[in-house]
Formats: sequence, C-alpha cells, structure tokens
Amino acid sequence: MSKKLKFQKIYDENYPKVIRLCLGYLSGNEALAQDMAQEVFIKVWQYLKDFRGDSNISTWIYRITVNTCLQELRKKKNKSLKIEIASNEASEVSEIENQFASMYRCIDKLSAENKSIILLELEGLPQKEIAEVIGINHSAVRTRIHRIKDQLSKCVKNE
Amino acid sequence: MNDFQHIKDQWQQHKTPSQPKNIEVIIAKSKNIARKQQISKVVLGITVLILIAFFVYVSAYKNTRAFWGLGLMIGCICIRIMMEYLSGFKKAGFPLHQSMNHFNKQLISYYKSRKIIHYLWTPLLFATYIFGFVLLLPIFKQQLSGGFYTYILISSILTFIALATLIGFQVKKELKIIKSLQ
Repeated sequence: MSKKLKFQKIYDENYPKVIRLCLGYLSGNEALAQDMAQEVFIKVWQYLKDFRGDSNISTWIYRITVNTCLQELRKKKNKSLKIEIASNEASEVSEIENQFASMYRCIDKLSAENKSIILLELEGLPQKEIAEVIGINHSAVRTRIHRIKDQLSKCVKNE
Repeated sequence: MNDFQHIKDQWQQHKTPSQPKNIEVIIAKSKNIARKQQISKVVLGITVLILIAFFVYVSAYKNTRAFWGLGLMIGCICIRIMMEYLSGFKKAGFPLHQSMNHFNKQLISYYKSRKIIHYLWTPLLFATYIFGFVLLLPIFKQQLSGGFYTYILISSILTFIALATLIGFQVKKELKIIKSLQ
C-alpha cells in the first residue's frame, strides 16, 4: 500500500477521535480545534515512516495528538490567546450545547496530565492504552481516573 | 449531566465539525514545512558567509583594533546564530509519538539547556559584542563626521537596549513554559 493510501485510511478512521480530543483541549473552540487537528495529521504524515507497529495505530495517533495539542496550547497560552468557551451567548443555545460548554469548562480546570487522561477515558480508550499514551503505569491510571471522574462529575453538577 | 457514564455517553455522541476530505492540503503543508526548513538552513549559511566576507572586504585584519572589534562582533553573532540553530534542530528531533511523560521530560531537559544559553552564553556574547563595538569607536570617531559618529553611537545604544529587552522577553516566555511542564 502506498504511503498516501495508508495515510488516507488512517486519516479517515482517526479524524473524529482526533478532533474530539482537540475540542476537549480547546474548550470546544471548533475553528482552533480544526487547525490543531490539521497540525496533528501533518505530524502523522511526517512520522508515518517511523511507525513500526509496536503499538496500536490508534495509540500512536493519540500520542501524537496529546503531545501536539499540549505543545500548541503552551504556545497559545504564552501569547495570552484566550480560549473561547463553546457556549455562545446567543439566545438559542440548546440544552445539550450548554451541557457541553459546562463540561469543557470543567475539563479546562484540570491539570494538563489529568485533562489528557480524562479526555482519553471519555473517548473510551482502554486504561492500558491510556497508560501507554501518558507514560505512567496501569494502576496509577486506574486510581487517577477514579479521582478525576469524581472531580469532573461534581464540577459538572455544580456548573 | 452529573453522572460520569452519562457524561461519557454524551461525549461520544457529540457532533464534531465535518472532516475535510482532501488530504492533499495536509501533504502540501507538510512538504512546505520541510522546504522552509531547508531555506532557513541556506539563509543561515549565507548570513555567516556574508559576515565573514564583510570582515575580509573591509580589510579589518590589517588593523589590530578593527580586527578585534569587528572580529569579536561578527564572531559573537555567528556563535549565537549557530547556537540557536542547533537548539532548534535538537527540539525538532523530539519524536511526538512517544508517551506524554517521556516527551515532557525531553522538553524540560531542552528548556533547562536553554536556561544555560540564556543566563550564561547570551549575556557573555552580548557583553563581548558590545566590547567589540566599543573597540571600534575610536576608529569611527577618526574616520567619520561628528554628526554621523553621534548617530552611530546613539542608534547603537538604542539597539542594544531593544535587543536586551527582546532577550528578556524570550527568557521570560521560556521560563513560563518550563513552569507549565513541571
């Protein structure tokens, strides 16, 4: 399979996961998330020759996504670029959008590592793979998820 | 939406922005980045060559004071440019497909090495650069008109102040990054 075809397949299969993760890091800002997702896939294209299949392709993509998003966020925070919360002040914002806005706000309060862990958990990634993406052991991930889940649920409830 | 499982269900059903179909844009951008990196390497090489050529052109090596003055200034610029280039090259080499913690550890060590550049090498090179300039002042005074000499003196002082401020901002920015990584 040519590199381009392989990339097309990876892109089609993984774009929704990548964009959801980017949205989580960027508090639901769609325009910024799309730019960031594009940045992620530029990196995927550049590193594709290095993928040896030691891990799942999705784990590999998630690692690139997490590292790229955090790196971009650090740059943006340094430029004091304010991240917009998805909840527009428009009058016709549906209930579900409000719920998402409060969820994004709560996720945004977490530390970079906890944010990454919970976003991967929300994506439904097995804890073993989350451990591989973050680089901590499986039991630490389990404990951490339990704690963040409580923290997040309480925050969303109070929003 | 206060139960985590409910939050998770909602999350996975959330409608995401539509996927751009054309991967050619991504491939083109990636090639563009690689081309830009090649161009900066060439520009860097040409800059160093121009500075050396300028040194030879003004025959600075024939006059001891001018040799040291201009030599120190050009040498400092060349060393600092090379340092910046090698530093950027090192950072670009960190694979993004490693675990987040491992990647962060590499970044922390990178920014710590940048601290040595900022706190030790930059002030040292900056002071040497100014010293080189001061060495050239009597030659300027001798060979230039009074007005032009004053212009060079004042504009250089202002440039040094602006440069020092810029370096200060850069250091502050990188220190913030280290803090956010820890």
